[in-house]
Amino acid sequence: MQERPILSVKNLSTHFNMAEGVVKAVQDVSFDLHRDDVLGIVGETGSGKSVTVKTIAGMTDNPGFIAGGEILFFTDEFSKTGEKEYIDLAKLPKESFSRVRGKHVGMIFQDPMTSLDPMYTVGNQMIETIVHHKKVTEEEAKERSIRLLEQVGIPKPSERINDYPFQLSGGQRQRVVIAIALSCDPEILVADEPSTALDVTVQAQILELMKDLQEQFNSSMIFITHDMAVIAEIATKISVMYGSYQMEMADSLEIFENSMNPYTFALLECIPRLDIKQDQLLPIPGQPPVMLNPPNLCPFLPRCSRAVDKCYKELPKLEQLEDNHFVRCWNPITNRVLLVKEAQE
Amino acid sequence: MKLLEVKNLKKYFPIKQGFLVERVVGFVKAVDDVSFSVDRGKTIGIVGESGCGKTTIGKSIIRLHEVTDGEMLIDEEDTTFYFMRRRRAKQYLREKYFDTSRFNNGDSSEFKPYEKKMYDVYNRADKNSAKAIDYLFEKADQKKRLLRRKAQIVFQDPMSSLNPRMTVGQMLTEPLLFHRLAKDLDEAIEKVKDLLVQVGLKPYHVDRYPHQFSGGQRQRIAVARAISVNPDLIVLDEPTSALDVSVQAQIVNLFEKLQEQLNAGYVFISHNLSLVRFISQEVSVMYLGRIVEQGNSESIFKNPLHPYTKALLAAAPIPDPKKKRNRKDLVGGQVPSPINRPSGCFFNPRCKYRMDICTKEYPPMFRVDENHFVACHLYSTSQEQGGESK
Repeated sequence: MQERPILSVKNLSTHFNMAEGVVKAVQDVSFDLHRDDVLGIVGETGSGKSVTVKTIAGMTDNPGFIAGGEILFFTDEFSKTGEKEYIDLAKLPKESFSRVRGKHVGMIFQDPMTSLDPMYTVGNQMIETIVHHKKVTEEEAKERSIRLLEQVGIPKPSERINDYPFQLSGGQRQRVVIAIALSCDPEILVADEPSTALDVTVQAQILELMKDLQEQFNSSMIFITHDMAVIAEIATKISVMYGSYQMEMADSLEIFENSMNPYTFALLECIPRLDIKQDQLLPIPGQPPVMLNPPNLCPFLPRCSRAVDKCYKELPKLEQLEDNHFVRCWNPITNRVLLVKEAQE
Repeated sequence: MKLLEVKNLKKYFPIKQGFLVERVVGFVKAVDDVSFSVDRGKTIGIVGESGCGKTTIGKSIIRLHEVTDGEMLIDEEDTTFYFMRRRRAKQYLREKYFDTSRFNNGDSSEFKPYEKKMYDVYNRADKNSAKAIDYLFEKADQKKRLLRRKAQIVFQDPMSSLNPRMTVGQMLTEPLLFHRLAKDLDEAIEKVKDLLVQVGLKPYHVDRYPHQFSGGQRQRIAVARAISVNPDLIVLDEPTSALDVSVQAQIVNLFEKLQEQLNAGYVFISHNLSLVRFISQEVSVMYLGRIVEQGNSESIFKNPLHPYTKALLAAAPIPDPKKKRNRKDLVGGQVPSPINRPSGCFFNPRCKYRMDICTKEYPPMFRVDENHFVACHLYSTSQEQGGESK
């Protein structure tokens, strides 16, 4: 019934060798990305969400390395017969990656001022990408760039294409970055906190734009953010990360209404809401974990209120507890209604 | 008695141009004619996008820079001139109080409390303006200290607001000793340990450096420093935006707890609308240096009136996949530059309800409800209430 996924990540781990020891930034991350999916990865600072997608895009440089796992990507890029096949991006040599990155995986980063080169015009940067990946002349690439700029909502694109990044406002810069990411019709669009650096009214514009474009271009997206509200807006499927592990993964609605991992539950309880008046916030006690030589236990254990004996002995696995609902916990919340009542009292 | 009253506050930053000989070619009107007040034990939230002047207001209240114009009363005492240079302070006092014939033939019962205080000084100086001004200015030096004790600030990024070369103990004993709240260093250290417990840290943290703490703990140290002198007024300038949500909730709850203990007034500056809704009883929404809507927090969030407030609320995402945003209130475009503000209402180029008058006149504050003011021509049928809204 379900078609084959475009991207299938299995037990991916990325570690960093530091002088003080090994920083295990990402451990045992698995997910499938289907066409038209928007996978939201949400987590706090240092939870490993950015490193996950940077690994997928082949951007983990020394001292970082892939410690294990597979990133299976469904593509015809390297097959001799032109048929689509699975290649393992985790084993792909660095030199070959430039044939994947940009063409099949488009990236959008948080701060558009640092992802655009201040020395080149917007047009230069767009044309360079298109000519590198597609067999087109510069004139054709320029035409395409203007069309793309129009699609992302930049007024007078044929004039703005000669502008330098500093001549554009923050929101417009992010629109240009989106246009570059989409310029080669990638199957996967990776957005790493694309709206965080923007003001709230501009953020709303960018989110609406990304939703529209994702439908138009028919690509799938991995969307990273720390903001539960933004993720509710855009994602169809959510993976919650904490301390390098995936704590929970399910459909968007399922996460918000039937979260089974104590961390997800606590996280939803402690965010201030605009739509309702709250009497109090329920904070999570303690601090986020430090990822240097962590014990091989659940990372949320020191802050968890539902810890049982087993938690202190063994690391739980990411298990499917309900249909398409994966949870990593020894003592998952199964009767949420009761708990919500308790919390309110 | 109002703890803090800000009246017609203005802060213009000059734009200078030229080599060797600098000329002022224009002004960035960061804060333009802003009035609000705070009570003890209450919180006023100031929201707006970047560049709307909310941080400038915070810094003006703490007097981290001299204001261009306006008055700031703390406990019904005019504190505006305390930090001015001698010449400007004298000029301010002369223009404001002692140049008019009001004190000579006015009826003292009509004076507002802060004017009465000035009148008393005037009488004590034998009705001699120059003498009174000198007297006030001399006293200002001591009063600076008092103001620094009464009003404190917590900044956004604790890593840059804490000195990396000082231990927590050194940092926190300094204000205690300066304001003579502790006799000697030993007593100060004891007090610091109590303070650390009060903000949720441990007494043994006293000998640590800021880099040995996590972001949330650092912010707790910044809070401890602010409350160490028992201030009446605390300006919170985006105090949680550098923190993760799970830690943000801890810090917000700490603010609430401390407010109950100290009975302090908070000016909470933030771009996070949901946080402002949670923490404040009153809200001022700012756009390009001016307050566009002001009033009771619940009435603003339930019934936003100004098109900009509506747009802000519609733009803020809600953590519930079933609730879709209200697309019709969203606006396009960006905030214009504060150097070159649009004529008339500053919001008119982005506004859907624009009328002819909007491009010509900046709307005054209209009172639509007992405690709900809006600066928009759409509500001009409501009772007009000038700049001094309260």
